[in-house]
Amino acid sequence: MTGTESAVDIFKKIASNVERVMRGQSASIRRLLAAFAGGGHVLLEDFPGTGKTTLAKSLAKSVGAGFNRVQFTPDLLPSDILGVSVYDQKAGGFSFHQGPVFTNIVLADEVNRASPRTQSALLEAMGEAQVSVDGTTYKLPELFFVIATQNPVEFHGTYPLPEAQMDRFMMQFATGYVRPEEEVAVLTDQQKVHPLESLEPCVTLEEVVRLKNMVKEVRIGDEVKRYVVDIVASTRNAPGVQLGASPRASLSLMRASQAAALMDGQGFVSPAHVQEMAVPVIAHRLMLDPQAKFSGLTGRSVVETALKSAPAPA
Amino acid sequence: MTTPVGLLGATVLFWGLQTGLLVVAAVLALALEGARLVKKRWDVSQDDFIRVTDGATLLLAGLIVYAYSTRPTHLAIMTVLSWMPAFFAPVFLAQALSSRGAFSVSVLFWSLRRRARQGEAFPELNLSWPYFLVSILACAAANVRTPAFYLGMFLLASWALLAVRPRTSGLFLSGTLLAAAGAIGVVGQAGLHALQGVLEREGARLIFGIVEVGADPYQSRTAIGSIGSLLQSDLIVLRVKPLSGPRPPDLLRRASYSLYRAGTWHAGELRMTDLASSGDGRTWDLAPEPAQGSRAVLISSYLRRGQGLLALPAGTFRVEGLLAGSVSHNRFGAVQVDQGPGMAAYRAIFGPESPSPSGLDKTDLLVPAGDASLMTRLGRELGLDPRKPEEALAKVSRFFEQGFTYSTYQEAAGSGEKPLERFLLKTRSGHCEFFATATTLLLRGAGIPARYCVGWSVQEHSRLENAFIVRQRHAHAWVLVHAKGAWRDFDTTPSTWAAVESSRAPWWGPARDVWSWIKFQAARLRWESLEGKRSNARLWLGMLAALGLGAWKLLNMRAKAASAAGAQTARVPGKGLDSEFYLIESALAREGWGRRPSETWRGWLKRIEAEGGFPVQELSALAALHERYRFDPQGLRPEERKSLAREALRLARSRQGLARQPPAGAESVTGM
Repeated sequence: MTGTESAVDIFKKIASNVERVMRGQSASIRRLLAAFAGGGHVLLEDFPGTGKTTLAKSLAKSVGAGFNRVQFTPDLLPSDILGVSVYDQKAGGFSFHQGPVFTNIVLADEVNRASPRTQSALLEAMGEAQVSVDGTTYKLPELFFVIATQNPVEFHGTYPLPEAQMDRFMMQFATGYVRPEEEVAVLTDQQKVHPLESLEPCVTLEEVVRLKNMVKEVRIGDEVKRYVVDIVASTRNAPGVQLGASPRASLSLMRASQAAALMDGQGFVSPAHVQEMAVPVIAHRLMLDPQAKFSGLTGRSVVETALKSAPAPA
Repeated sequence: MTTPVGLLGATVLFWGLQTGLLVVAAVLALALEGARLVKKRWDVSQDDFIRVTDGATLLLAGLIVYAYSTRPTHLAIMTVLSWMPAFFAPVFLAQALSSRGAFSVSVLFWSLRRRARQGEAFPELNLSWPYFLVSILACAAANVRTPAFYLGMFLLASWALLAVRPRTSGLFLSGTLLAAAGAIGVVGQAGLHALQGVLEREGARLIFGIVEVGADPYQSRTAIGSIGSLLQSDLIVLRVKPLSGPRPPDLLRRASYSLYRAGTWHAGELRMTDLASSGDGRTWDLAPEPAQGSRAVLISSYLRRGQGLLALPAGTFRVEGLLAGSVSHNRFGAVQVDQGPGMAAYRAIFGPESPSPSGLDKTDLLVPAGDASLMTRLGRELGLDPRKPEEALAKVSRFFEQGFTYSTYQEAAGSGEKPLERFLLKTRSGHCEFFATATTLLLRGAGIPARYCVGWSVQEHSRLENAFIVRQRHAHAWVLVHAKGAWRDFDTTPSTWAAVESSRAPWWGPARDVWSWIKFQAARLRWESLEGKRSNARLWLGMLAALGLGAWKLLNMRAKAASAAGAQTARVPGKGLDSEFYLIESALAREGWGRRPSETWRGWLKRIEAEGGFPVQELSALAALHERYRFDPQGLRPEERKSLAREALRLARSRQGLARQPPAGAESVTGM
């Protein structure tokens, strides 16, 4: 089995395992896996009850990785996430008690309910894969993946993530409602017991780390890199956009496209992968004019327009 | 919601009957109704709709320019309206034959198109009912006032209304109500027609009884007795070009009057005599041609609603190049034009001496009773002798030169003070009406026949227009004196009046003059081509140039947009551009399955399959190989490269073969 084939195999195993719980969400699962293998983090924004938490949990269970869930509330402190130094009377000194962030997969539920200070603590960990407490830096595990969720319908008592912090998420997407027949299947599955409880790990942590490294090996030609940059750059001049996507968006789009190519068993990135990943990778990073926003312009529509206006290499 | 079957066809046929465009209408009706019968529908994109709409708009703009240039405004509007169904037909057909069956409202407006490109969603518009309304409007624009028109409109409107009646209303009830409405319409229309007649008659009587309309051959109301400043505008009213000699006459007469009463001069006789045109209907003889020394001047002036008094040099015996319904004159030298063009450019041919339009009249010596004693006394003081008119004129001239000043401002007079007496004895300051009136009455008091004359003073040459221009503030009044058998101009207003008036020109005057010149050129072009003086060729050329410019601009904008978009990727040289797969792309493009610039191979093939084109498995496999050749930095192995070339050529040939078999091939690739 070649490297690409084994990678496809790993992807397939995880995807089918997750799909046992998340019925009719193959597109969301594909995106989630692209971000997971691409070394990014994901922000899920959707209505309550659409399976955001379940998606995160099923992924954690499928890879047999450490998993912690943090429910964000207004009174949550940075130390509640990162950990705290406590005086140890026996040792006669301070010892560091690791917070829930020291794991492989963190589910930051309703991330916009915590104060900006607490949000920043998590986002620093996401950006640098390390935590600094009391002058000491602690490395996070090699596989560190954050799935944050937020609810778009509630505004009271929430602190919207600033644009700079949105940029830390490789992707943002919504799971969305499934079709009625899929929803019936969900009811049937959960009639007696939640399928999540019977979910077993299907790949090892080592396999996942190998997968992440293989994503970086996926080849990407200059022409496709240029296409990535053109799409991202065109959002900077788009009408109604105050602040376009950053070079970090280009990097993320390249990485996500590499992961998508690997999922398809391709050793190189083609423009179709770039197009596929452009909206979830770029849209949430754009800062729109309030007036344009009010008249119905969205980050998604800006990116879609950019895709339509930039000729795809063919 | 679409119109009922047959309604649009019937409406368009009715339009053809009303406008006389029955052949065009029959073709349109067939196309409009035939679109329902054709089962095939095309995937007309937003851009295609925009192209069709732009094309229709461009044609409509051409028609507007043509109609406005070749016929009077009201007829131009009617012409444009009556052709509307033909111009909107392509847009409607594009909609009717599209798979969407409607198009976004944003297609119709430039501003909305921009917002639509930014991703804003706009409601879809079905053009069926708007097209029906446009056709109805076009029927009405034909302006055929027969009972058949009313009946046709009634039937079409009833058809449309019955089709959209509420479900709760029965056909009988709706039909009865519509019939009642139709009957009320007939009665109401007849009543309105009668009412309009009454209003027009009474309105004209009321309005013309009160308002003084423009220059009047019968009377001229002066500002004598008024107080405050006399304000005159800087607008250019006449353009004068000498056709013989270096400069035109200094004064152009419009009318003269003989009776003065309370600040107003009246013509001594109200009769106007119609002139007969000669030759081409543009030449009007006012008097017999003098034996020698005739000169000519070209005068251009606006005629409001085609009516007005002509400005003519003294001694004009013929007016040439004036197309008018009627031209009349009186014995006081006023030449009135009716049913003329909006802008007249006529040649005035005049002789060295005035041919004396009329003999003397006792009114030419009449001095109002209130002013008679003053004038007689002054005449005596000045020593005016009616037997020596030349000498008398010199004395009067000297009298006004000494101590009189020109002023447009008049202070309030004391109670019981007569304006003329105050002017002559006290203030010694006034504008031309004062000088002309006082001089006329003074000469008359001395027994010398004189008339009050109004017209224009020609004093300003425009380098821009290479002609003399006359502004409204150059309006002037002077005296006609009967001497040596002719009426001669005699002006006693101090010569400083021109300088005083010029000093009041606004600072933005030059800019306004340029604008005035542009308007004048446009008016000249329009009216001269309307009169047939100028061949329409220049107009057509201008119009074609404008249309060409518009089309070029449009194409240029698109080319720029395309090159800007292309430049984004063109800067990185692509590898594998020699792939034979492009032959397949070209072959499919010829069959109507062209790849959009933003589409990848996968998206393109997926679309072909989704739109029911043809199976694409074989193509997909080859496209994957091509993609590796193009985008994988490792490229293909030699045998894979050969395989790509071989298979691509084979498939391209097979597609071309299909394209040469229209029935089966065309059906399979364009059957939507």
